[in-house]
Amino acid sequence: MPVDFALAAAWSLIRHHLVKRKLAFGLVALASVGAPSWAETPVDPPADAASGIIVKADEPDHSVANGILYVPRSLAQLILSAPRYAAVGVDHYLESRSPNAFGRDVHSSWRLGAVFDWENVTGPSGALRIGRELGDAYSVDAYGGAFGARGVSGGARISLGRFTSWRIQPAVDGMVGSGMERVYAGVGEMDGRRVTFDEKQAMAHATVAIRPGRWWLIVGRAGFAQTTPDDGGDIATAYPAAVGVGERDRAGSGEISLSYDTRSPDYSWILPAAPSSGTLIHATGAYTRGETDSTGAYSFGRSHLEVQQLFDLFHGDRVLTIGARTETITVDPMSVPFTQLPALGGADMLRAYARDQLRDRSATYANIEYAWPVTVASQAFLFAETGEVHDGYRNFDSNNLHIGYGAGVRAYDGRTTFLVLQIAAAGTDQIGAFAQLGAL
Amino acid sequence: MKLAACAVFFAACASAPRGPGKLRFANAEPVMKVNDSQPIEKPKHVELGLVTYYLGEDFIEPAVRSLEVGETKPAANVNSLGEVPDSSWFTNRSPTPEEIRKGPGLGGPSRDKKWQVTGVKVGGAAIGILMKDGRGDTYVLKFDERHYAETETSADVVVQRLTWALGYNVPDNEVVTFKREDLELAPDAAIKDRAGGKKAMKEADLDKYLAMVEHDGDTYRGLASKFITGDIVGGISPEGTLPDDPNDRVPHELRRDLRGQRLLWAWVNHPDIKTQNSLATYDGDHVKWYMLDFGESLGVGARTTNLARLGYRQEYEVRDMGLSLLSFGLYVHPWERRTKFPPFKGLGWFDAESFDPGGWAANHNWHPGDVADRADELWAAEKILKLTPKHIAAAVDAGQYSDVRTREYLTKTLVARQEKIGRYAFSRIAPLVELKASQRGSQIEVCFSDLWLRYHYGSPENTRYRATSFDTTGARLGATAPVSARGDSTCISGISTGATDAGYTIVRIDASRGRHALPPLYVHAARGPDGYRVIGLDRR
Repeated sequence: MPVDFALAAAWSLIRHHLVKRKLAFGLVALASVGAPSWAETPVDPPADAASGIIVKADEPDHSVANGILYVPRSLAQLILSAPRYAAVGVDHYLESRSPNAFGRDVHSSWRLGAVFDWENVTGPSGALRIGRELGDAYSVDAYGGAFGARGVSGGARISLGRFTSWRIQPAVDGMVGSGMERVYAGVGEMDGRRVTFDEKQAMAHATVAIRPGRWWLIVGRAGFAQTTPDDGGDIATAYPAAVGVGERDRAGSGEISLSYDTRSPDYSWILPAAPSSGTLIHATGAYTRGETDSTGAYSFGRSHLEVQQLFDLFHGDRVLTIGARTETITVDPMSVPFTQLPALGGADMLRAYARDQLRDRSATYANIEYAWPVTVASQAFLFAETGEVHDGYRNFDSNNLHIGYGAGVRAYDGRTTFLVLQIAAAGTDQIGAFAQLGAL
Repeated sequence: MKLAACAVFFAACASAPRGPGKLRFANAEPVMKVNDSQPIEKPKHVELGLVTYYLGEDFIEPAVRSLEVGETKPAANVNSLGEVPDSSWFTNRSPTPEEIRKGPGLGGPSRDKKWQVTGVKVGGAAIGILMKDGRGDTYVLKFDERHYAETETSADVVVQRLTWALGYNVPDNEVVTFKREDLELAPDAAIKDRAGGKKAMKEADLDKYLAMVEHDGDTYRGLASKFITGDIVGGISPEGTLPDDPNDRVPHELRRDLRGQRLLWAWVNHPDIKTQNSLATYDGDHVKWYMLDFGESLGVGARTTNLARLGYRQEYEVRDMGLSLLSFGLYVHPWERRTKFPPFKGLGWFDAESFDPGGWAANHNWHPGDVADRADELWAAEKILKLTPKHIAAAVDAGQYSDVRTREYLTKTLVARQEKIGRYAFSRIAPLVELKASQRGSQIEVCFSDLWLRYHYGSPENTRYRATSFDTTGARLGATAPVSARGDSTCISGISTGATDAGYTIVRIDASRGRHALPPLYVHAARGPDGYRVIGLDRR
């Protein structure tokens, strides 16, 4: 292979500079051996002798400049022959799969996905997914994650690949992971201390989705999760009163959610992943019953409401989004493990803060975003957001709202967002930066 | 005061006409046909995959070219009048509307027998089924994308007819309708890939491919493209020449017939220009060059891929992306101004209102079009404008659109875009054609036709010409008084002639429209067997 490459690169260089550009001494003459004799064709001249020009017009002489550039040009040609050679390999691979370029008529039952995330607080993480369709109906997906927030984790999901004639789509999924990096900054208003800890988790869920109408979706979900926030001593030192630190928390939960989602692309050139207009209303009610090793049994209800409205300002791709969401549980926040509390922070809500940096009994959030296209499949966006965590709605205090703002870019591939880069700030000391490349 | 004096001086310098320079022509009639059909050995087959091609043309070649210094060279395959002589690439032709409707071929595959399917097209992104008709001719059947009936098949034929009418070689393409039962598998039918793999083709394979294309029950509408005779040796590379073809002597980026195509492709919005959409075939004697695969033109590519920017912006245009990003979406691109098109069957996203011939862009770099100059575009626009609405309607008829509104809309839009092309090309250069020189006593008279006036883009009252003559050494002989245009054809008389070299005289014609001066045209004339004649044109 290296010999092939060197020969290909050398020949490309020789051909380009010595023959094509007629810079070789004598090689050009050799290259023209076998050319027909134009003297035999007195009537019609060759194409390059049709102009009738007997004295050429003056042409600027750039031979000195081009002589100076000869070496860098040759070097560029040599270096760029490597990607060209690689492209030839890609072409051969694509066309070996099918008579049609890009294997359009080849259907694979395998699905592959990969994602790389980076957050300025927890650092990088990544995951790979492999999936396969089982017959016409079912599909199975497995994934494994590594580093940072994903720790060392693995999971699997088996689902019916489509809605049945009864408009039902069941699925079961499960995952286990350890060493997943998390952030803790206390419950309620922050006091400035932020510590990180590792979490172990194992969970299994069964889900049934029902689509009673085009815009409506009902999802019922039941499952079990076991979560153990490792106490490396940091949380206990910083927050002695934190509930659930270092304890194994086993909890079963059931929830039902209802979505009304009319978000859609208004024009055929808008990708489904970046809808132009519409409304989303998503409401969830859940009940959780669990037990920790030393704190004991607990149970609580949870409610969550999210509303989002998209406005198509122009052409389907200048879009203003206004959204709000709130979540609350029915018990004292200090009576359940802190991992069960509603939270803010991370790549989706209050982005200047680390993921789940703000926790309390309730969390309330609102945002406004303006997005505009950079290319057909990518857009830039500006956003402003506000939110706070509070001990129930009676204790909501607008003076405690955190206000953040930021910007980013997203790139899409049909229904998938495969690149997100965003940076956010709040006040003078909170900066959040997030990157996501790929999709599971 | 000093500033004003300087301004006047520089303005005078800037507007001062330059001399004729060194360029001189042989005292001969223009060449109307070149000989590029000398017998040669079969050249080696050169074929690139799409990834290799796009990487090379969009990134590698521009990067290497950026390390070269030099102005874009003028076309090198033209005769002394700037025309492209007949060759294995191009034939000057003036077909009637009826000839355009019929096209260059046999009218499609024979229906005498069932069509025998022999395999599947290798390469390209679209599904293609190979078959032989009752005459034994091989065709490739191509189809419309699902849910886009009468789009690619019709657009291909319409643009094939127009491309042929303008002088280029094209395959024999026709829209055909057939049923599944009209096809039968040949005993040796096989599916091959470019890597050399091969497997027997079965009925199920044929059904699978047919299921992927637009159809109405068991009735299929396809584009039957007759295989071009000869051995394929590759496509038209956008630069350089075919290495083993000594007939191919003009680098492709210097061919006026290829450079001028920029306006043809702009006219019909054919953004999918690439080597793979052309063909070089060896007929046992020499290589002949073809243009093909026009199915994405007439806005069909934009509609089927939802890429409204096709024809307006290249795939990778950093400037436009930066403009979008930095303007926060406030900058409105031309293709964004039109969001609704008539819902006529088969119609692509194709309009005249948002069309800007100067700003039109192929989807990827195509070097001959990218370096086209004003003279190339004048040559192309003159040919395009020669097609009347009847010629255009005949080409649209060949597309066999079932909706009469589609035919009317396309014809009307092509005519409107044609006018925009004329206004664009004829405003950037002195569009004086059909030049003739004749002796009047001791002086000569030069007559010409002004395309700007012929197509009524302006009024003759507003147009003036002035002639200045030089002898063969470049010495100035004299100048005429300004002459007002008379209709679209005007003569300037009283032009002094040279005394040597058969009265070799160079006449610079300065044309102006109102206050707008056009670049000068240098007309080289000399005495021939029948008196003075134009022996060369030097368009600036």
